[in-house]
Amino acid sequence: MTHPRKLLDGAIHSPARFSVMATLNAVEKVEFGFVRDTVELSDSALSQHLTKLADAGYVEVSKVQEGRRTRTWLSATPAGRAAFEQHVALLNLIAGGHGDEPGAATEP
Amino acid sequence: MPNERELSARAALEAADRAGRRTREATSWYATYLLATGLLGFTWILVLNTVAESMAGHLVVGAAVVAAGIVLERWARAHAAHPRGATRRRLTAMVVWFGSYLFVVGPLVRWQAGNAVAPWAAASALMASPFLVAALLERRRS
Repeated sequence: MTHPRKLLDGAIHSPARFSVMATLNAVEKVEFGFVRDTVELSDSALSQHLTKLADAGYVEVSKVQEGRRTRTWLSATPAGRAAFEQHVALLNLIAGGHGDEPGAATEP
Repeated sequence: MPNERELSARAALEAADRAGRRTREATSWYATYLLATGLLGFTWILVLNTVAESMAGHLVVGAAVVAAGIVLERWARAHAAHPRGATRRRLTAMVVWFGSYLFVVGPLVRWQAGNAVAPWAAASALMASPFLVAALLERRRS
């Protein structure tokens, strides 16, 4: 009998990181600049959020040299996708007002 | 009346939905890429088995296909978002296409029809169909 908010994943609970994970979960891989523009963050802010997500094992960052240009590709790991789906399920519970009912969510 | 926590959860879900939708829209190019790859495979097999009979002809066709493939790959790499399962779908279509050419449809058509255009056109279309199927699935998804 735990309130769903207590089960929310701290690594992706911030609005910016949650949106980053939503972007990454929709694709196989995506370029850094696309995520930055979609989530409306600065380069440095996105880098900081990505470091936290990568430390949690949710995101992979790879740099690829193409001619003179270095492109940074981002992708969600299987653990990241699972954590995101779980987070969405919990938010849906809370948004539906079910979080206040006794026994609404159980520890995974 | 929804409380503040519920409103906050709804706002987060809506923002995530918008971000996911926008990202999926950015992958719509992939269906065109799969179609173009299938068309390239169709043309290659057809020309190789009907028109280009000499070694020189095979080399010219091979060079043209490689050049077209490089252009296609460069175009694909220029895109910022690649859809989920893109690599798996493309590899599956390529394995089915090339495997059927090498081991099933190719030998059968060569044995039964020689260099006749119509049977090779039908066989090439059949072999390229995995790309068409993958492109249709991709278009529906994105």
